[in-house]
Amino acid sequence: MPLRAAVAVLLLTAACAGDSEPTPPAQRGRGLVAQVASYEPLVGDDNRLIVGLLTEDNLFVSGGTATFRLAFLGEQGGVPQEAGQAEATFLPILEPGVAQAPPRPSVGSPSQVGRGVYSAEDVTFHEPGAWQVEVEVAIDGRLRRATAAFTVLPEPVVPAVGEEAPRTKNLTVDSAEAPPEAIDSRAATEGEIPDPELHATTIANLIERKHPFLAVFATPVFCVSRFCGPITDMVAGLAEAHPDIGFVHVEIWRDFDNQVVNKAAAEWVQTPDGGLTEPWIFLVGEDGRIVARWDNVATPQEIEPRLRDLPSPQ
Amino acid sequence: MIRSSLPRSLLALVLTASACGDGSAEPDGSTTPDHMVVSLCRSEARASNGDLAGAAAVFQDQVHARLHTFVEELQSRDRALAGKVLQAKESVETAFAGGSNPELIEFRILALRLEVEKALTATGASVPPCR
Repeated sequence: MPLRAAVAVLLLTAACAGDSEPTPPAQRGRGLVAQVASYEPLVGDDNRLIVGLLTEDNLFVSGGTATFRLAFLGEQGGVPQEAGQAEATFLPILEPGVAQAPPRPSVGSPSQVGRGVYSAEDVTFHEPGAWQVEVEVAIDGRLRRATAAFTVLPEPVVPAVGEEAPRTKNLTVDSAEAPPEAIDSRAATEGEIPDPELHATTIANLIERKHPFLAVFATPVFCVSRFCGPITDMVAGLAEAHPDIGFVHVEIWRDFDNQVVNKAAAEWVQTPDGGLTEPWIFLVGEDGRIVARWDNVATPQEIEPRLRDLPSPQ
Repeated sequence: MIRSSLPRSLLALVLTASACGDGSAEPDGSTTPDHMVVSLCRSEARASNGDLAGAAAVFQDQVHARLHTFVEELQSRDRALAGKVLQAKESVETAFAGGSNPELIEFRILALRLEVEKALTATGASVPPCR
């Protein structure tokens, strides 16, 4: 499959198919829908696969664990060929007004059960092309399932683990020529650039100084993903706890109304055909190479251990 | 370019958007396209009564996902208007996250409601009054 088509399919990736069992009348509208939230599954064995699970009437399934059963559909799609399974844990999106995730998979509104995605680590995809994940959860003692199709790419489009980080000269608080909202989209509503510590220096400068850093590419105001959360706030919290590591927020939009993407964001997360996925988080070591990356949904619990593993800067 | 009537796809999106539960575990059966506005009114009223947790719950359960779906469609028709709605939404979320006082939160929800109403009007949809 040509890369452009693959990316298009991936961006449109989603859903569906309800329960494998007939839905009793009392649970009408509560069949499950799975939505693959990973932006860029790759051939190889170190994928993080994240999948959101909702009911047909848009309540969230949150908490506990799920089983992912993977199947390869082939280049053009076709009869599923079983390709293993993985255990997934729930990753909560933490925000005000949202409940803590329950210990077991539960159905409810965000204020009742929270919202988030199920995540499996070290998932292997042996072939590029169309794949399918069947997600199974036990809710109230009954197994419920949903499937979703997605595309596995042969090669990364967005900078990947092991690659050299682009030496990007992102906007900072000192970029006098840029409107404040191009530095952080929240500046337009908050009257000043929030989290100035995330906008203090450039990625190019950190690489030059061999200083490990974490960069978040996100648009706090203009995110339209169903799984949007306060990811930049979360990164600001990490920055406070890890003063030895550099932290950078790169705003996606230079001018949202006119669809102008910031050059720095384009260098990392825009595809050759103009496609765009966000948010992304990248962890870069002192050698300037990408150590880890997270797409769409990320939690401090996933990132913290990787920050602690980084050698201290000289 | 703004069209004079609500596009069918936008109507469908709003009709199918998001969920139930009004923050007090009561299922909410309303599926009218103006439900988002009614929910914003409800969230505003709770903030006005000092019930910030209730206001946040209504916002999360009945407004947040619908708003994302609504804006996703709106931005292909009037991106500037979509941007204004998202900015107003972010102001509400910032106020909730920062534990702002009820008056400020109420004001910001009102500001968001006005932006949503403006967007609905621009797309030819009817706007219900706050009840």
